[in-house]
Amino acid sequence: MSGVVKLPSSSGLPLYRLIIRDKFALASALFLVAIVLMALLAPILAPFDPTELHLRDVLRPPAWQERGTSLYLLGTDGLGRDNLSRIIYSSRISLSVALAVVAITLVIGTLVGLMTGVLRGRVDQCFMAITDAVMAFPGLLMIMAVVAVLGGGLTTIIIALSVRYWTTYARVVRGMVISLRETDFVLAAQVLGGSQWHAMRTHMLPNIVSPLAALIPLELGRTMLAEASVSFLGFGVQPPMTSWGLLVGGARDYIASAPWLIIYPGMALFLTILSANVFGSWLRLAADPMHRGRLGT
Amino acid sequence: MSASQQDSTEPPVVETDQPLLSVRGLVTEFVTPAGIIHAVNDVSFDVYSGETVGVVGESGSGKSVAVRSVLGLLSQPPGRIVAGEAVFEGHDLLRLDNYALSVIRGSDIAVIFQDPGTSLNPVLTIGSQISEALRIHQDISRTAARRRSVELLQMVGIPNAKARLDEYPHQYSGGMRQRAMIAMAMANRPKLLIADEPTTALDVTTQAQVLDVLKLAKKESEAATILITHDLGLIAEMADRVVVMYAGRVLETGSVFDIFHRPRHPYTIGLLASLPRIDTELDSLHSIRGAPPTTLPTGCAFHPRCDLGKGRARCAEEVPHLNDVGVGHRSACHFHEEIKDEVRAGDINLEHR
Amino acid sequence: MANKNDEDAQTSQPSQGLYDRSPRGSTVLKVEHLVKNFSGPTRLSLHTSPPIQAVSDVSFVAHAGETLGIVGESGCGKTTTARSIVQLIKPTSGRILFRGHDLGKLDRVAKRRVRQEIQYVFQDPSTAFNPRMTVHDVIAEPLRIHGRYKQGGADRVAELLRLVSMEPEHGERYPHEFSGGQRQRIGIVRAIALDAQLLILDEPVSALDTSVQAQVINLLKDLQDRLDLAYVFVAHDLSMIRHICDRVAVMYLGKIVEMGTKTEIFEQPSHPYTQALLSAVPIRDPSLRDSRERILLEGDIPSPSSPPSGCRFRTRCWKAKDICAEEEPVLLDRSGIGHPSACHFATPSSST
Repeated sequence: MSGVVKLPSSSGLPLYRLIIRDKFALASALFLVAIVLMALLAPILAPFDPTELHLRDVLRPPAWQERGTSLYLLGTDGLGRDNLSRIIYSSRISLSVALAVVAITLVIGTLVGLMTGVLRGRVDQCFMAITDAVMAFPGLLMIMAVVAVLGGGLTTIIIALSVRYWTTYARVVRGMVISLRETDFVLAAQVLGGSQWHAMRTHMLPNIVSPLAALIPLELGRTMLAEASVSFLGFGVQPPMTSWGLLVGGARDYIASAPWLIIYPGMALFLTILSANVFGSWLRLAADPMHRGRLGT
Repeated sequence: MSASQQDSTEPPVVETDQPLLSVRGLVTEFVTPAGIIHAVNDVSFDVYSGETVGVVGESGSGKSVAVRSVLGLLSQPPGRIVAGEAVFEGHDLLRLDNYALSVIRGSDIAVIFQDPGTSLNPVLTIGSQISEALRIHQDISRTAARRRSVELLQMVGIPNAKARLDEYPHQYSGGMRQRAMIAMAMANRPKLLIADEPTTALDVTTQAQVLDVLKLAKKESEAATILITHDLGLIAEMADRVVVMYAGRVLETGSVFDIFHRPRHPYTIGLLASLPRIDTELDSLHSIRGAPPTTLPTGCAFHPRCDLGKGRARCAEEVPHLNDVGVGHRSACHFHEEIKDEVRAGDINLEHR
Repeated sequence: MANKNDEDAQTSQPSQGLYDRSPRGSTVLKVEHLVKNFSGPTRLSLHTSPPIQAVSDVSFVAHAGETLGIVGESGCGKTTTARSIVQLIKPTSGRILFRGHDLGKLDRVAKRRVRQEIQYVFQDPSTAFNPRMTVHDVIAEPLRIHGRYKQGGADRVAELLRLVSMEPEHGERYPHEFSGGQRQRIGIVRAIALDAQLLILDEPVSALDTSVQAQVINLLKDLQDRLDLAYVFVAHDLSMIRHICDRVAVMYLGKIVEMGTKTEIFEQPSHPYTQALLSAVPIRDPSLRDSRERILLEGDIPSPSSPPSGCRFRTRCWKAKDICAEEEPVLLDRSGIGHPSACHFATPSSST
């Protein structure tokens, strides 16, 4: 008896083969890998200690410009610290803050989303009200408030960003749970005698995990940008630690005189977030079996 | 074929000289990232004035795509008309540009779609939409158009036509919307009316109302009709001639009596035998093994599911031509001569090899 | 009254015959005065609209080894009725008795036990399965839920697949890799994986291609013969109903307007709606084209939130008189007809 339908060619491929077909997605994925490696191998890659002062080589431009030397490839700042080394070491902070925040918000948001989607009623209304309140409150003010209460520092900024951004996951998960709730196979599980817990575990979670995971790169990009903005303004990461946002903020006064202090950290930030977004967009399509066919040959 | 083949209850087969629409060798495909879909593969049929041609087929049969290709309603890309001609009143529709086609569509050729919910503009009143249809193709005043719109609504049996003219589509029920669509289609007295699954989304009693209106419209305007559907009951009820499509090919054509009483293709026979009847009880339903294909098989499109062609290499290798099996009755089967018995629908003798 | 001698749900014998199966012909399901109202949408003015009376006082029985068809058009309440039987929808009032037990009064354990015996087949095979589960897991799910997979579960799944002419190897694939007809077969076999006595089938072949419907219908008939299953078959395709059902209930706007054996309904319909319904179905024989008297109904189906007073069908009925608006006709076996009909003026006609 015939009848086994052949799948369209895109769907059957594992992700790594699928990505080869999209040059932009591939490039962004590779770039992200490179950034992560850079962060991990910072002590090996960076020519100098990022906090080391070289008072005789203050404000040197990048190597290819007049007055630049090959010692400090991307120039130095107002205290003689090597720009390149600082950029390399900053990747550690920028990435770890983003990863920590995403991890925390993922867990909190998913739990809230599952709870409100499954339990409904008062619980749902209560948490949705909280979510709306958090989202409506001006982000910056909220972060400033948290920093004011907890004092500056890495932990503080992670907590502050988490408090602000868990709502995305909550809403997404809640939406998915609500639509899954009405699908025939979840109803079938109920008719077959399964409990709500069974339905959640066997049917909802597996169908949520994949789209949720695909959301992560996008959220990483957004969080990184948020941290950069806050650090730029002085509320985020505090010296002696460096992040890209902090570097850009610290170089505010040197826009005209030493533009390399803003351009190169800015580019690092920009390219990383761009790669996260491009890769995230691709992953969202690739992770959804129904839309995989849309990815071009 | 001898005259005894038809019984006295059947009207005589009359063929006028020139068909109103003549489709020859139509081939349409869709280019998708997943590959090329061969939706229509060498389809030919004729429609004569005044008659109703039923195009029947299941999913993947290409029936809708074929007709949409002819009317220029295919989105190209991803669709692509690769070959063929469709001659309507001396013009090949496939060679006309969009402007020329738009002149013909709505006046000489009118279309009714399946879902009146999406083919009617929800923010315009029914009256304004009918008037628009009239005034695009005819040079008449607004008042005259309005008057004609009322007449049309009355013709399709909408009560209080004058008042209802100024209502919006959502204020009409599904059946009424479909009837309003028929009114719009008939507004410019088309020569050819195309109805694509016109009653599939409707309840049975509503369907009866709409079919009644279609019959009336047919009688008043003497338009030829192409009725596209998967419902064989509709075909038996409305069609004069039938084109049976499967996997983008035409498997059998003939008068409605030929198809239902003397089918000469294993697919048609199997299909008729697999359907229950409302007017009588059958002992069992014949089941055709397998399912309509998603990729076009080599040779005869039906051969993977055919009992007659089981084990015969010719069916898998060679695409059968439409062979004459009666007056105006053709079957695309290599072994059609082995299908001897005259059968009546519901009483099919399926003894083949 | 309700007899509560259900065994403990955790008995571990994997095979059928856990308890007595109802013999062929015995009453397996009894629905008494089922009512379901849905609350209307709350509008901006904070007025709640009147409730939607989806099912209003519906009663019927189903027997082992037989098929009861419920037929009607949109808004008649047949799907709501079907879902109420399997407790997907909680009835507003009324009783549903399964093998003598009132389903509304069972404790949690007994309710789970009953789930093994009453099952539901969904209409659309493309949405009835979790897209991330293999066919094997789909069929095994009921076994796992009730703790009956550990002992010989995998074999049972293979056995079930063979029962519907599929190979055990197909279990490793995903449902979307199969055709509509095969998927519906998977849905059916999932429903009988345990000790099903009663299957509720909601339009089981409507979503399938015509050339494939017969496969599934033949399978259903075969299973019924083998396992003495009772079917409640909800559909709108009257020809299919005639073929597979033994008895038929015709519903209109939440009420059963006529009920009888297949022959009674199709050959001697006495309620005007049934007569109109039957005359509206196109016959698959062109020589019978103009042979019937066609009854065309006026108007549209009224809204279920404000059904007409008295007889709900009166707004479209050619026989309607004053009494029809005042007094609701009860579903009664009116003398001379032989089967219950809810019309003051029921007269049997013979349809062709």
